[in-house]
Amino acid sequence: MTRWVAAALLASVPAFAACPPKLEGTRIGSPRHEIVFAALPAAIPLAEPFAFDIELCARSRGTARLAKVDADMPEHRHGMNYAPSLIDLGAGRYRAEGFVFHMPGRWRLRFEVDGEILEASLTVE
Amino acid sequence: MMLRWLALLSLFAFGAQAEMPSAEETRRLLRHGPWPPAAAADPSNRVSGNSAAIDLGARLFADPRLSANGRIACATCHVPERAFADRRKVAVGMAPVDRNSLALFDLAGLRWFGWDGANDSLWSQSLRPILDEREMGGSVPGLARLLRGDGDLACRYRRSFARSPDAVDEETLLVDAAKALAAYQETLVSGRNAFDAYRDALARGDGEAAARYPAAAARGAGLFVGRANCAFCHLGPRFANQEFHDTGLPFFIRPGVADPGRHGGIRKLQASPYTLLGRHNDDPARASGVATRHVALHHRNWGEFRVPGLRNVALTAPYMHNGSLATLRDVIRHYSELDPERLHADGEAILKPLFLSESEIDALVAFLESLTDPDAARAAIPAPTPCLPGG
Repeated sequence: MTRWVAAALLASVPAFAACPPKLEGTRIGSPRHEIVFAALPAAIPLAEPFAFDIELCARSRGTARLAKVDADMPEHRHGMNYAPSLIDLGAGRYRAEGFVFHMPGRWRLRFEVDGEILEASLTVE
Repeated sequence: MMLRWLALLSLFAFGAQAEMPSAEETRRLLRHGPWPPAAAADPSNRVSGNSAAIDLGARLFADPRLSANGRIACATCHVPERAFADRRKVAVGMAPVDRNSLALFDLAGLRWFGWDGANDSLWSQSLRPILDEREMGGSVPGLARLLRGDGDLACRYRRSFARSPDAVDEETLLVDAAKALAAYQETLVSGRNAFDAYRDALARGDGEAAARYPAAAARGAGLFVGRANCAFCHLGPRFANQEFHDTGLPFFIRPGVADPGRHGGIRKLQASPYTLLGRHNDDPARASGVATRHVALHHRNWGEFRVPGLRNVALTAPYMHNGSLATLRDVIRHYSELDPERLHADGEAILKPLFLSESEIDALVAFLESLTDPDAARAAIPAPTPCLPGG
C-alpha cells in the first residue's frame, strides 16, 4: 500500500530537470529558474509557423512549471496573431508550437514560470 | 583634353555608382527573391499538381453552370486577361458584393485566403463563392447534378479522382470540385519581371545588369525597403507577410453596416467544416493545420485585412479591400498622408504618415510597375484536352 501511495505521489508531482538544463540553445535565467530554448527550425522563418523546444529547471530544490510562452514586438505595440500551445514532454522539457513572427525586427519572448516572467529578445529578418 | 575626359569618366562612374543601392539596401532587396519559388504540392489536396485535376479545374473555373442563374463563372470576376481580377471597385456576381476581387496569381502555399482570411486552403476558398448567394449562388445538389450529368465533366472527374461522380456523396463532390479548382489556380504563377532581373543582378554583384533597371524604379525600390518601410508588411518574394493589418480605411460599407474584416474572417473560419482541421484535409498528419489550430481572435482584428502580394499589382486596379483607391499613386498617397486618428486606438503602432515628395511617389509607382510580368496581361485558360466517355 505504501508503495502504491508513493507511486501515486510521484505521478502527481511535475517532473523536473536538474539545473543546468541539458538542451542546447539560448540560455536565460533568474535567481529562481533557468530556461534554455531552441527554435525549430533553428533559423526562424519570417512570417511562417515555427516552434520552440524548451527546457526549464528550478535553481533551488523543488519543481517548476512552464505555464505559458508568448511573444510580442514592444516597439510596434503588437503581439502575434497566434496563441502558441505548450506540450509538456516531461522532465522539464516542453515543445511550444504555433509561433509566427510576421514582421522583421525585434521580438520579445516571454516565459511564464510559476508567476515569474522570464524574457528573451530575438531579432528576425 | 585628357584631364577633361578623365573628369567626365569619373563623373559617369560616380553617377552610375550613385544609382546603385547601398550594401544595407541591397541586403534588404535580396529578401524579395529569388523568383519563382519551387513548386510544392499542397498536402491537404490529394489532386494538387495532378494534370487531370488541373484540366478539370480549368473547365470548372470557366463554367457558368456552377452558378444559380447559369451566367456567373469564377472567370467572371477573375478575368484571365485582367490578371485574374475584374477592374471593378467591388465584385459583381449574382449581386454586388462588398469587396474588391483579388487577383489569383501566386496562390500556392498561402496560409490564408480572401481579404479576411476566412479560409485556410485554396480548395476551401474555391468552394466558398460557389455557394455564396451574392457571388454564384450555387448549391451542393446543383453542383453534384452538373458533375454527374455532364458527360465531359464526369469523364474529367473520373480521370482526376479515379472514381465515378456517382460513387460519392454530394458534399464530397463539392469538395472534390473545389480541390480541382485549387489544382488549376496553383498553376497561375507570376512570371519574372524587371525587378527580379535587378534583384538577381545585385545578388550576383553584376553592376552592368543591375544598371539596366530604370533609375526611378531603383530609387522606388530603395524607398520601399527603406524610409517608406513598405517591406515591413509587403515582405519576401511574394511581397506579402500573409497576415492582416488595419490600413486606416473606413470600416463602413454603407451607413450602419461595417465590414468586420479579419475579426469576421476568424469567426467564419472557426465555424467552417471545410478547414485544415476537418475531415476533408487529405494530409493525415494535419501538420498543414498548425496556423488554423493556433490562430487567435483579438478585438484589434476588427477592420484588419490581408496584406496582398504585389506581383502584377499594376494590372489589378482599383486597390484595397473595398476598391476605394483607383490608382497606385492613390494608394501611395494614402499611406503618405495617413491620418493616424483612423487607426485602431488599441492596435499596432506601425503606420505613420510618410510625407513623401511627388518625386518619391513617382519612384514608388515606377518600382511597383516594375513588378509586372510582361506575359500576365495575356493569360488565358488553357484549351481542354480530350476526355472520352468512360475514360
